[in-house]
Amino acid sequence: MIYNDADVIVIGGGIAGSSTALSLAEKGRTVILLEKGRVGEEASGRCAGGVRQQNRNVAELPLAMESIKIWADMINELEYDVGYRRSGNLQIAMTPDEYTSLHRICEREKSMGLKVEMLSQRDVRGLISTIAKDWDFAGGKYCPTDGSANPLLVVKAICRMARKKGAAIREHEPVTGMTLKSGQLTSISTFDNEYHAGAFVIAAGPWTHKLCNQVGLDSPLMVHRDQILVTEPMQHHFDPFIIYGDMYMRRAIEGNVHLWGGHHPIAAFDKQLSYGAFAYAADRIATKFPYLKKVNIIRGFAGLTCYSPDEIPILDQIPNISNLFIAAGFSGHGFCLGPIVGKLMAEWIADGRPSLDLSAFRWGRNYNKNDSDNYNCL
Amino acid sequence: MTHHYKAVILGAGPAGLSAAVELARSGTEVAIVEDNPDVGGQVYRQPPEGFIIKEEKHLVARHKIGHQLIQNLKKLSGKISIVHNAYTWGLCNNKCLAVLHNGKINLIEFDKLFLCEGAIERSIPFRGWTLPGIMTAGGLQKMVINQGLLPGKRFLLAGSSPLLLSVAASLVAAGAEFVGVCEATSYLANLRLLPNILTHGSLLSEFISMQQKLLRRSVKFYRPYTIASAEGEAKVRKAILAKLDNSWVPIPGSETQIDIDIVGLGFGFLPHARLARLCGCDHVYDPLQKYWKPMTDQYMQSSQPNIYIAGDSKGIGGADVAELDGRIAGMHAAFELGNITQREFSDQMNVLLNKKLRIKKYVLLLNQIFAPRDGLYDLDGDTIVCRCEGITAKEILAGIDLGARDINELKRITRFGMGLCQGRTCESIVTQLMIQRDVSINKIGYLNLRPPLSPVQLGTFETAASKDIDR
Amino acid sequence: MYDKSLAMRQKKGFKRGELVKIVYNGQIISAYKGETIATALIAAGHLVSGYSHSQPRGVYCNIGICHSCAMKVNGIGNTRICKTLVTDGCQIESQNDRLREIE
Repeated sequence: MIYNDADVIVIGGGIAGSSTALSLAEKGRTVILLEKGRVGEEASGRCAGGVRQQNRNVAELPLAMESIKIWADMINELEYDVGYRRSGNLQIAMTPDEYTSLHRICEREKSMGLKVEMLSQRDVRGLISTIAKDWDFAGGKYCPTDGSANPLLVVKAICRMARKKGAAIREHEPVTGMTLKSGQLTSISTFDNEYHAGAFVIAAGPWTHKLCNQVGLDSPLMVHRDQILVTEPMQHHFDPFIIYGDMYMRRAIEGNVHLWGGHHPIAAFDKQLSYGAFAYAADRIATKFPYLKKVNIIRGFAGLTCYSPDEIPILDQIPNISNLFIAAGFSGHGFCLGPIVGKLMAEWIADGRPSLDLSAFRWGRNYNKNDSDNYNCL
Repeated sequence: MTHHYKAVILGAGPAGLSAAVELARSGTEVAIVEDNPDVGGQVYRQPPEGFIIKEEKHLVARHKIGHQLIQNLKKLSGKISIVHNAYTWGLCNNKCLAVLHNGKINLIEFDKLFLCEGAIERSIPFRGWTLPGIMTAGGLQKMVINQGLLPGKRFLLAGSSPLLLSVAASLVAAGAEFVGVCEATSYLANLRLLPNILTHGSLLSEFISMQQKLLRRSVKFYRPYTIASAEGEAKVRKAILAKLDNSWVPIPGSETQIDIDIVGLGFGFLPHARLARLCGCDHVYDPLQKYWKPMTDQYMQSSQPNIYIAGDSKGIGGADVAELDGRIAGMHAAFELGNITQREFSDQMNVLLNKKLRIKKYVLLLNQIFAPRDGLYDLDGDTIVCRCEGITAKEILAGIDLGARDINELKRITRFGMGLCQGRTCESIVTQLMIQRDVSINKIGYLNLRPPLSPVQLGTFETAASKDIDR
Repeated sequence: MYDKSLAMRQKKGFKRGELVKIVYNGQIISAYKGETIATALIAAGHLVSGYSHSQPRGVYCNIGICHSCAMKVNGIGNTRICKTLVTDGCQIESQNDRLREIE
């Protein structure tokens, strides 16, 4: 490979971009990944770390189930423990109506091959002993093959593996310009370099919109700020990733419990932790997991996530720029999908088409949130 | 609950108290927010409630200054509100402090903010340094002279700091059976500074007389030595000392062993600039002192509007400098607020600035003599660096080798600094390890801080008026 | 293995206030009002506040910065004993793991 030329250039070093670079390298393509900062330091490294199949948009489920298989293989290959555990995902149904909705989704997911079950309140309490005794919730929905990982370590490890297989990962290389010629992207430039490739993938999360603008495309993608508060390390007292209403929590393998501090649509790209995050989390645990009231919050952080109007990603080849692909807009639940998205984008570019149906994720689709198809908790 | 004051001072040590007095004198209403139950900070620590303490001779002068300052403060109590046991854990939009007081969140809005967060001890690790019985020299001093407890019989003080002699004197006065002082500084090596030392004649003679007193009371000196390792089961029992060369690298084969039951480590101080980092002001790295410090102009103004930084948290200078800092900052703010005239400002400010210039020369000299040198950071792989999370030097170096190029990334990869103390103890150690691996200091940077600055119980936030403090 | 401290309260130059009783791992200890729990425990011979990663920990900075001295006080885990003053009847327990217990 000539230094700045490759078969494919991937823009964005999050889980989608790194997985794409890895998959392309495994297919023997030369690939350069350009990351504006350090890999995994944006949404992918600041997210909840949930690796989840259940409770997704119906179109995402087949991808998530395939992805879980890749996760299992990938973990064995990675150089160090990235904290991935299949400790399950539990969605607590707050009301009977919610239980009914979840039950419907449960049936649909089972019919698509996912191992998932409905739980009574008693069953849920059997899984999690620290729920408030007087919280009369309706039950829950549980997927045992879901889990979580340390998101930053995962992305760093994927990049190391990609490098080992021949991909070039270039950090501190923000893309400053993109050049179109006769309906093809011919080159992109950074501050100091110009890059050429046969195909390009934009997997740049919140920065995707600006990059699209540079080739005359208007994207519907929006930026949200997500916040997480971290407790002091706690003894093991629950396994699954717990979600209820507009709240989630998970226990990292080191013992710290991560609590969601909510998210805000924002205009500026600002990763300051909002003070509202503290009240957000406190109000939602107070009557549900009261033991946490006495637990100390020792730190917190925020990250920027990229949302699409219908909250499922855009995974497509751009209609009038046939060598440009987009993988962005994961709307706060892209972590599980990273590896499969990487594989599918690599197949699309190298073999001509992806091996799974991606028609729901088309660029320029009717971005309507259809709630019956689109159960997306958070 | 939200309060508003024209001037809010964070920290009631020498800098904070002096700023308060200066502001109140000019008629400005001041609020001091102090984490401890009493004023005075570390250096003018008040006796515990119910105690009457007769100070040791070598501490009387300092006690007198502190006492005077607190008296001045009390005289102006009409203009000064002090909130005790109030922990400031955040700063919203650089306009108000988020404070935990009596289990509730309070917001304190200000027109002018004075950050006087003081200093913390620099930790330099060695094998066994986490054993019970091993404390900081300042922590040991507090235990002996303020709490009245001699925590053991055989003491070793190790490090490089003028504080060591003072602590040794306190231990001797309290009846310690054995006191060893292990100093990395070689006085011979500092001979080249003699002309400068001689210009501060009175301080030199004070030092020499202290030395003589200690030698007469059989304090054993080890110079230039450092503590290479400590051994013990549930507490420290033995210390192994090693002689140092000119770069403060331990000389192989020079080890000597002593039986001790308490160790006091004094390797100097670091600015405890936590809110200073939260406010986003500019910082600069001091290569001699090996720490980052917030940048201020001659009036103690940081690069953030309306935020002053005074005292040790802007750069270690000791109590005398801290008091001048506080007065300078207070006077400048009083002028900006229109409470003193241009004439008053010019006259008085010049006096303070000149005083400070003279003291700073002495401080610089002390820094040159006592500042830690690279050899002390030549760590054994198994030495713990991050006490809270149990991260060793080997793991930190592996993280650097894995490609971490700034300290925040290294933290995320290795988990150092993610424990209860949020990097206060270990950040300075990790910074030096990165420098050792040839990462440039401007790339290393310093840890980004996020609220809460110290652990706060989650339940506390239930009562927060989140509408007020949401961004 | 348990090693006692060889600590002693100073008499010369110190006049103390009233005595209180505190409870350490079920054992009753006398202390003086105004003392920190750290002082009281070390005075009674206890240097180890708990274990972290199977290694003993005790008071290090003594001014509330390092959290090495953390113990469970009156049911609240990870309390810095060097900053907490003794109160009559306060319950202090060692934390034998870096992981805080669920209460």
